[in-house]
Amino acid sequence: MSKKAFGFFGKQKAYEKEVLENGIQQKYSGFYADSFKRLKKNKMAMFCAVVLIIIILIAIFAPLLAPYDPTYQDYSAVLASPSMAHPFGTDEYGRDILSRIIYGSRVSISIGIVAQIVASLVGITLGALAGYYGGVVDSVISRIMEIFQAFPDLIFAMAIMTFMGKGVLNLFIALGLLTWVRTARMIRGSVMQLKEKEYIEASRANGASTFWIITKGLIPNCLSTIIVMVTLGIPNAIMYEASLSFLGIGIQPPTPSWGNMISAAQTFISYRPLYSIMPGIAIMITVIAFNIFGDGLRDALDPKLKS
Amino acid sequence: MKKKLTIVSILCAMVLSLAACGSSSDTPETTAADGSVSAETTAAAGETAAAAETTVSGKVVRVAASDPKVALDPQQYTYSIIMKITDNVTESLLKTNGDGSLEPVLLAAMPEISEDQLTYSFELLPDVKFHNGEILTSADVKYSYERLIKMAKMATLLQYVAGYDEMSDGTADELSGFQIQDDTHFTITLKQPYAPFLSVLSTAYTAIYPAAACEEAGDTWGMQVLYGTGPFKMDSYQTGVGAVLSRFDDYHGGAAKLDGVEYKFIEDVNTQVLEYQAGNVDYVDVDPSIYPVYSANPELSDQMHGFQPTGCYSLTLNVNTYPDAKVREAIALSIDRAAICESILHGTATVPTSYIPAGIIGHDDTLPEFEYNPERAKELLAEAGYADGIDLRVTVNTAYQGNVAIATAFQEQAKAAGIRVEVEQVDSAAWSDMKASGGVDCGISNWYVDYSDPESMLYPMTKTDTNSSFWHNDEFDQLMADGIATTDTAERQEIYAKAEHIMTREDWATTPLYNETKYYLLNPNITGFEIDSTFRMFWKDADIVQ
Amino acid sequence: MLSYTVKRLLQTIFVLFGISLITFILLQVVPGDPVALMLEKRADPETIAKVRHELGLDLPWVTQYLNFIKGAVHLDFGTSYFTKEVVSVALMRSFKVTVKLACMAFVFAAVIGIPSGIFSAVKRGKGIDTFVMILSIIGVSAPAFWVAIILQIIFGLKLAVLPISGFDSIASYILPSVALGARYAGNMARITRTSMLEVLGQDYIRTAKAKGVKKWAVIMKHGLKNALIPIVTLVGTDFGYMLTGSMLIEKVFSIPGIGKLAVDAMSNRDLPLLEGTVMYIAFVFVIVNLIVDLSYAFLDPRIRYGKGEA
Repeated sequence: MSKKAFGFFGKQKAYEKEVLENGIQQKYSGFYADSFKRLKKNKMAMFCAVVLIIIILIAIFAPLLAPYDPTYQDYSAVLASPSMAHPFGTDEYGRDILSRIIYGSRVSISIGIVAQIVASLVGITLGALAGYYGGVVDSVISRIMEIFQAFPDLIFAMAIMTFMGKGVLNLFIALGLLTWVRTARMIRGSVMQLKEKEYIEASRANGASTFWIITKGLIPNCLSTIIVMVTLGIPNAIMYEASLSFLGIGIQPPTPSWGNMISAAQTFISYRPLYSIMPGIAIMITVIAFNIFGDGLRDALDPKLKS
Repeated sequence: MKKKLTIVSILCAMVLSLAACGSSSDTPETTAADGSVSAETTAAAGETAAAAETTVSGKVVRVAASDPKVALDPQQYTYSIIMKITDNVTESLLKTNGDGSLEPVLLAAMPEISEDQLTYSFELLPDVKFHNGEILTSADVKYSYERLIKMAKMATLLQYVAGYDEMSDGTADELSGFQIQDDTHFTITLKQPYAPFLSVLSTAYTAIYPAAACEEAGDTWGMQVLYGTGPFKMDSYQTGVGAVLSRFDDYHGGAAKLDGVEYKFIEDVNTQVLEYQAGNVDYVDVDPSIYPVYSANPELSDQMHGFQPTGCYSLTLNVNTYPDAKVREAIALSIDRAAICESILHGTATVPTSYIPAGIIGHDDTLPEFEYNPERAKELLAEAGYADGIDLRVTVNTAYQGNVAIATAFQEQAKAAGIRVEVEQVDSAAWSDMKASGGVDCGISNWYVDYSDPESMLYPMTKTDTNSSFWHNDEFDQLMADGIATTDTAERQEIYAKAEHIMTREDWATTPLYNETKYYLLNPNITGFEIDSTFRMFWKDADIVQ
Repeated sequence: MLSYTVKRLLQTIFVLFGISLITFILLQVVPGDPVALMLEKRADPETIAKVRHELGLDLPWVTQYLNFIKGAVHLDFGTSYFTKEVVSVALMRSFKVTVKLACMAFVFAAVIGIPSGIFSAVKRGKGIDTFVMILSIIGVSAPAFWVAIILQIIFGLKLAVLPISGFDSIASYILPSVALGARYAGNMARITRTSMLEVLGQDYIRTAKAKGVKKWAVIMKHGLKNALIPIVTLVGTDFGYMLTGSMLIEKVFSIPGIGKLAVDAMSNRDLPLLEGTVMYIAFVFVIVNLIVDLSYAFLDPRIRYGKGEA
């Protein structure tokens, strides 16, 4: 699948364009409180926030909720059909599918979040540098961004995962590397606008160090952009994980992830449909919730975009 | 505004012309273009294919297969799918039957072997035609064997032929042990007695190609051109698409009943079976993991056929990582083979008593099955100084999803023995590289014999660089040397049984996991087709009846 | 404008160069050796060395890379290690297939996505709006390969109305196009709706309505025309993505397009083929983006590309 074919929502794109063109507004005190008020009024977004909280709670309390150990193989119940004991049936190793879906939320959620943190770290650093310094630094970083964007993403992921070895940690890094460009572009644009503002000029005149200006003066003002980027980036990463699992380079056994479950269930789809459908639905619900909540967050943080 | 439009259109034109340039400059040099086009149309689903302007129509068997992705030349590439196609196009001098016996194919009679077991005299069938019309001669045989050596991949099959070394290291251009008497008579002289030699000459790797045509084709051999003496000729082959074979009317054994065979390359195993269920292909392999899906379906279970390929799945341990044989024995004891055969493989596999499979000299079925004994494994680990257990990295090639399943099951089973298994999935390229460089601590793999002889089964263990174990044992190597120099079957039985015992029950270098039954679905209208333990697919005698 | 285009094209060369270098380096550091793979079964070190020499893999990295670049500037990427097929021939063959798939998926996405987006905007807040938006969000949120498998089962096997796999007839492209296009259709519906809503809220639309111009005429003539810019941007880049092939969809439906070629090249560590495919994908991506940016300027006269901005 091509670069960012995942979850790049039209609105997100429009938002990027808006920010790149107009810059973000100087935030006033009480801005976040106001934003929160606006967010609370958005019923869909709040509903999705509740859904997300539930999913996160499920992930945290998985050991308490799951009826079975997700890696326990019951050879007497291989590919069992749904029953009271196994509401969604069992997989080809006799493992309880419900328990694996519950535990799978841990992987999917953490993959989404950590990959976005990695992406943000790389993206914010490079984006801020490019935006602040401009000139040669900007040109070099911009070209790097273009290279990363144009590189076929799954091939890149395959190479990185083969190079570093498969593992959850490496998957975080690979997914982060696949998605940082978007953040970097946003931050670059914002910083470019902000650095011309008076208060930055003033601190520069007062002899503030570049590091101080970037970390204290510029980045905090991009915070709402970053929050939105991260929220909308998480479902993207979740979808990527599913694709990588389908190619056999995602989460390794025996750890369950929704992606590797769908991939394994493919063979049995007409025989044990729930095995494939349930993790697919889990992915969809999570992705939808993150997307709608992210949209709401963006509208709340950037009221001028509301029509 | 207009100016902009012009620029945009110029730009578009530029891109388009760039694309066009690419295509126009490429067309002349590739006859592949024709091949690909016709294959594209023939790879059509079902009847449309036969109806369209293709090369085959009438009684055509459609086979779902994985994509070979490389030239259809077993001398260069050894994927089983390649042989499934080429076995119908090219032929070797001899053929191995399901019971291990040999029969002449391109020979007038079985070769005569001299008293000292060193010289083999052959007589070719007269007037055997290649698909390009040429007549098979001794020179073609010589050419094919010399090419096999030059191609390097499977060259060592002929390592006991006199003059092999000189050819292999490039000091000679010809195979001196191969002497041509006339167009249909030749002799092959060996350096030392080599019992499996005739079996070697029945493998697909030693297929006979027409010298002039093969030489002329160069790199296009097996891609656009492939001539043999077989019952079908190759009309087209396109990686990612399919291969089309049509009947060769001048076949020396009498023309085949089928009009053709069409291989459709379908990457996804699940899609393959769906296509079978929809009636768009007539043959498909059934992965053990989906066996229950079809055995539960009465209609399909009748169409499912099984055979036991001669070979074995095994766990190979790197002796450099685990130098202590006790640790290796402990690992061998910590995998529950019976559970894997019964549950993971749904009863399609059996627990072996020996690495050398049944039907092959050296197989010993008086031995007990390899057992699952985590308690004993723990004791052994404690004796070896690992009372706290060990970490074990199991590497599997993702090209074989079945192996991933075994590793996943093993991971859970080994916990009881205090062995913490980490499953590492790698792709084929990384797998072969890691194997060769010693990067595989514990690998799951399977090995099928190339010819019905224990030497073919144990061969990888005699050379430390062709398996991931790096195990070396002088006594074993001596037995292997004795084995090929001996012709008496009873004696060989003893030699190979002993060799295997050293390998699997004393040194625990590699441990057998299971012997599988492979299944395939076959359209019930097809008769005269069966796959036996040699695991080769011959459509020569098949027919379609309504 | 012209200088902007030239500048972008020059940057493209730089990007392609960077991509070829990264591809090359990745293949050097990634475990796996094409020769070991080729010779797997009975290979000994001498044989491996011999074949490496034949393929020029025994040369120093720098020399290997320079040799490759020398060919690449003449659009000669060499021949595949495994099939011995000329890389540009293989690319062209796969490209033809991918173009067909991309066009059909694109048509599907646009035909479904844009009108439902317009409809949804016009009927804002009504049941149909919610329905379309829910459908579109499902389209965006379902993993494409999963949708593909489900489509295969339903339409290929159970209803038996469409081919399960293959790429020979228009019919066999339908399921892959739907599976591939679903996500884009969802995207297009959403952006069209947003963009239309913004335009429909503007004064001149209200004025037109007040003047008694027919509702749909207003929507189509004034509304859509002005809402077009973001839609075109999105649609253009989407088409670019589709043209670079979809590895997963191609795998499920056994379509020998660019995506499959790239994955095969990667898994075989087939350097010439991988370089060719990756550079092709990058080239299409960059060029399509450039065209989109230019058409953006074309559609919105306020936008001028000049110095300094990239």
